[in-house]
Amino acid sequence: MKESEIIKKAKEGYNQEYIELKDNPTFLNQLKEVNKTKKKPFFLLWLSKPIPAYSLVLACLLFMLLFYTVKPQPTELIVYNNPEPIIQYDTIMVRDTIMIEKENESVRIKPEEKLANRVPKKLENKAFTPIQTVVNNGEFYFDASQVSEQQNLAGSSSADSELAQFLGVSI
Amino acid sequence: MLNPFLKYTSISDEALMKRLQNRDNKALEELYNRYFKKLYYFSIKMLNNDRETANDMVQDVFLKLVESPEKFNTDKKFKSWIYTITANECRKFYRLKPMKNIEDEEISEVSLEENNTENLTVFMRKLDNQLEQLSDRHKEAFILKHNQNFSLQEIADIQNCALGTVKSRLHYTIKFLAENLAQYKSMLTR
Repeated sequence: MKESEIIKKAKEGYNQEYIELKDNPTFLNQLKEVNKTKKKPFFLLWLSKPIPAYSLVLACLLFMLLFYTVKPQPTELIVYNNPEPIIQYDTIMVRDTIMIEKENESVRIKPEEKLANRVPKKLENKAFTPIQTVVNNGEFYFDASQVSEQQNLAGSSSADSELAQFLGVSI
Repeated sequence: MLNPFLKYTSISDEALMKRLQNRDNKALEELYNRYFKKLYYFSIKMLNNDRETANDMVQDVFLKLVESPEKFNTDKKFKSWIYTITANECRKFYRLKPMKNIEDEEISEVSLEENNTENLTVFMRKLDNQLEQLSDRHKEAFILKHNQNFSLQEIADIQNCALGTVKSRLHYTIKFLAENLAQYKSMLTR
């Protein structure tokens, strides 16, 4: 008889017998009951395995003690450049620029920032008439400093208009 | 961490054992459904069709499993582990109480003229009888390979031997069966 035939027939027979075999469902329920009774509540586990349980608690306490008592040591040196604020009139200059010097390399982290009056107000120069100071018999006297200032503003174009320039009047 | 939303039918045997270690009844049920009948049939064959003893033996194996599931190392393969336990139990029983051979007279009671299914039953009884003549290791290798569809490596793991030893055992067994079952060739081809 060929070996392959034996194997084929044996497998066929095994499969047929296996299909005909009945299961035992009542035993499964018994097993479940046994499994249930073996389940222990938490405090019993604590009692049954005291060494690992107490070790865990001691480890937790040690960790808490270290956490609250030991302060961490700084690992980096941070140099604050010009930490004080500079106040000019009503503008507050806050210089919170942090310069970190690390291996000869300076890193600018945050640029300086103005909190108010970012654009300074520019005043325009206006023409003004020199103020006559003394009146005596129809003669006017002017302050010399005001006159030279007026001349500078109007400019000196010609000798004819010198008087007009002097008085600050347009002809 | 165990995933509570995973279906039990899709969980591996090893993961089910991990759950059983936490006393999960559903995991137990799934393992029972997967293995009880297979192990029962394996034991029946190993104990020469002694169904009662085979049933007691497999029940003992499952009771041990439930009582101390922590004995199983979840890094190892569950299938090989449970079959190793069952095979060891069978071997113990085998040594204590040698199996009674099915007499040839019993076989001859079944008429060879009957239908094909009955012929197969007769052949199976004869096959069991011939396997009984071999050592427990040879018989076990044959049953694991051709009944339980184990790979050669898995059989080697269960029998705790080299792959070559398993091959040699299987070769010897099949050769032995071919010689001793030659007279039934006409019955099977009918």
